[in-house]
Amino acid sequence: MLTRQQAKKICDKILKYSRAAQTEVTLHDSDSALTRFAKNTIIQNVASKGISLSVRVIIGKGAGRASTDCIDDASIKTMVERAIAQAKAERGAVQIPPMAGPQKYRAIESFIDATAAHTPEAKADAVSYIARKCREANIECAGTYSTDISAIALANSKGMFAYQPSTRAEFGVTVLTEDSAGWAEGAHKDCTKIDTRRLSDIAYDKAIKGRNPQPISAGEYAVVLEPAAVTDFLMYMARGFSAQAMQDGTSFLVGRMGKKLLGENITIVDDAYDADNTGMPFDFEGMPRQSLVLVEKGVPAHLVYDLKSAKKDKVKTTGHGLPQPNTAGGMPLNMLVEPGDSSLEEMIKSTKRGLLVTHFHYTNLAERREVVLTGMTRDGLFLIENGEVTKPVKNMRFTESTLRALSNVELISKDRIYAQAFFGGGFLVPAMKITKFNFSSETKF
Amino acid sequence: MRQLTATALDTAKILGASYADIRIIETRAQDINVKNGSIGGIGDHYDMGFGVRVIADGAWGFASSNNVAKKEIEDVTTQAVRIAKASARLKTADVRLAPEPVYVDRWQTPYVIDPFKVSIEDKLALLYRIDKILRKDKRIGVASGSLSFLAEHQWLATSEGTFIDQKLLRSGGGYSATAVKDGEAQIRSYPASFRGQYATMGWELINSLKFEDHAERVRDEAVALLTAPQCPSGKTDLILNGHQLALQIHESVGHPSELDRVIGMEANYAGTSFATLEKLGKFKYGSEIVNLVADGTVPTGLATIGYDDDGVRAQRWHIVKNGIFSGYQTNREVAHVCGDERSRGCCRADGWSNIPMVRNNNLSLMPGDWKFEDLIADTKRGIYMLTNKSWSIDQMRLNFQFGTEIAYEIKNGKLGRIFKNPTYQGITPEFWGSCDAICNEDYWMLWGVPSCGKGQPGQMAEMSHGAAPARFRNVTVGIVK
Repeated sequence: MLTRQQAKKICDKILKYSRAAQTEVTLHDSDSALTRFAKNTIIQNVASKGISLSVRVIIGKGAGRASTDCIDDASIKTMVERAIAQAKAERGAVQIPPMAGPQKYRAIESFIDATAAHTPEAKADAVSYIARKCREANIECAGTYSTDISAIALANSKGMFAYQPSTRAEFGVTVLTEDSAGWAEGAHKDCTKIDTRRLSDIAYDKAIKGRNPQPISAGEYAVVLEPAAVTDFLMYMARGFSAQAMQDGTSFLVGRMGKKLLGENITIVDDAYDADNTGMPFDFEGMPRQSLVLVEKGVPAHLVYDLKSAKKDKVKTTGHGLPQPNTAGGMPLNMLVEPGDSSLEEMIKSTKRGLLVTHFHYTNLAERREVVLTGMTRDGLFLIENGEVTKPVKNMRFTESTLRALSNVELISKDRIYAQAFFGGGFLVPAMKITKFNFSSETKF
Repeated sequence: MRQLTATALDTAKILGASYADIRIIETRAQDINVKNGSIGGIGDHYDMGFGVRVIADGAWGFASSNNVAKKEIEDVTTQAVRIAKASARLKTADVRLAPEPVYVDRWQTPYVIDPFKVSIEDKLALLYRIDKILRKDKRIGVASGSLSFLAEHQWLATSEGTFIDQKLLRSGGGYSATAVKDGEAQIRSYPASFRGQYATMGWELINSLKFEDHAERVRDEAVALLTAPQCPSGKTDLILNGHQLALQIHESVGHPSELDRVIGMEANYAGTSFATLEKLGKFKYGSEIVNLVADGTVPTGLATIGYDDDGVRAQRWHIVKNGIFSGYQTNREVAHVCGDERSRGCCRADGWSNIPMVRNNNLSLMPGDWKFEDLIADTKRGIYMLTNKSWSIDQMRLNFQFGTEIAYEIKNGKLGRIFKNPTYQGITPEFWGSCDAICNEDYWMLWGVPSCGKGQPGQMAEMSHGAAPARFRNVTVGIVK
């Protein structure tokens, strides 16, 4: 892993090669390992490392970007020349905001030695626990155990330099019987905080309890969503909080800022500094990343900005820029839902008739204005009757408006986990009980 | 390159691997986007790296690096063997590779105009001309146009003696107009959604698409959708255009026929498949007129190659023949599971840093006999949906829901008013079983899908699906809530 000094040396060398009025360098050093298992055996065991370099230049109204994974001088020079050629060819109408000078950043401790030192053998040992358990029961497990070590550095010709090393460990496991499945996942910068045996047992128990699922009819139900089932709602809302989307007229928040939109018990924050979150203290323009309340007690409160969208609205950037140029503007990358004071057990006990959902699969946006999502339940769908989980049921497709769902949240758990959304991204989310939730069709299993 | 590849193979052999291969890949990619009169995105990427795969103690190991040098290759190969031996602790059986002849060969994508030799100025000029047409109407909140090019040079060497020098070239482009009003937003795209049409061709693809001829229509349709009625709900006859059918094929036939998925190797992420082994040769996947053919040799297909990453020659075969489930997509590791003596050549990796695995090949619905105008005239009551907008399918590939950008009402054999936010749902074999008419080859087009995600760690792959418009009877439409 490149140290701060080593990363700066490479960035400074690249900056020297550029004749452009403004030049920015992004360096990403990564070293990742993943053990993938299925059918109770390790099926892929991979490791990859490398350095990626990217340079952006601004010349007049033109911008160019080029990148490479080759760190020899000739490749770097070619990269810079390509970026300059693009910028010179560009005849855009919009003045690009100038790059920022040196900034001060809050410290985030995100590099944990234990994760960096994790070995393939240790991963195999973690997998062997659930693999053996499943073999003995004549059922199957599948999943992954990965560790990533990375460092990101940004530098520009105005003297800005930012550097952040980080580690990340993720363990996810699915247990499958002949007619059911169970799943659990954990992710943290510190691998010692992931209890792979506990997660394996959770997935195993769900699969066993899920055997012989009964048919159930589509319709409206009260639902108790485990935290992982909540993440996809945030993923599809995220883009709407971009000031760029608001300026384009495509945000679901058009005409809704400052007006009650969700339940009063819903507060959503973008906070890279939360200890359980995973974030950088700067954005991809080198600006300090702010924590921001996006929705306060059901009322959309703030949008996120990058330099370009901030200039248009005559405000300051909030430090949510993505690598420029881009079409999205600022993006909240560290969203979390403020916890409540309830628990999963309490939510189940309080439900006369409803469904307990483990998580959703292949969610997608069916309608933009009301953020209507569709997707499937997965890996454990259970009927709740009179405050008790009574039986497993077959999976169903839901089609529901995020805005409606988050306006009908009766209870929110005080515990949260970092959970990943199906198409990527992760959020710090609690469990939720929603009183009305629409399932639009059934499937065969 | 021979010396470098030999370093990996020799090192692996010394360390006790029973099989090894190395891919050294050099890639150049260029992406340009113009949004609302200025650059929305621009990038020119070059990289070179290698990935080594080994079988040691009966299990796979893989490692990679971007430092293509002898010492690094030795170290990375050593790491791959170590990883394989760690994996072997848990193996239930040794990895078994289907036999394949040894090849020493060269192959490259045929093309006419090298897109990397077309100037940035010309590329930007095209996109700005489109941008100007799209934004003539002030109700267009976002006008976005993209061009994308990828050139890959791969050297594959295996411990069995295969050495393949293969060059692939891909081009793509398209644009969209999003009309906005009071929080409502509606999009229309050309020639396809999600950044357009892609093919293994050079710049001649962009020329053939004639962007400027369609820009006014795209703009006006987006605006018209703002005030169009919502697609009605209910059961009706459904005609899908080729682009939407391409996604339908991809999700409900392509993925379920990936054999690694069937046997559970994707269970933790995208799921498994209902197309289980006992169904092969027997199961009624669709009506008798439904023929779905996988083809790694079809010209301009995104998955069209000479050899896959196992060193297997590209092939053509039926996945569904006359409605009956007839074949899987396989690599050397899983081919034997369905009784095939040889792999179908579907093993591909996303670059040098990822391990190869079974990926969707080009997979197409064979054309039928109908003229499009006759198909519409033959439909008393129905909906015609065009251009994919959203997709979702369950983890066994049965229950699906798709949304398109626009739909037309069909009444008494004529196309009528447009609908917004059209969606439809179904169960895979029931849906394909309801197909009763397919348009002929005059309407057939090979559509590129440039970003199919699979695997953990996640990998992207590209493939094409050919289709002509087709009709499906009594389908549930209009599920937005």
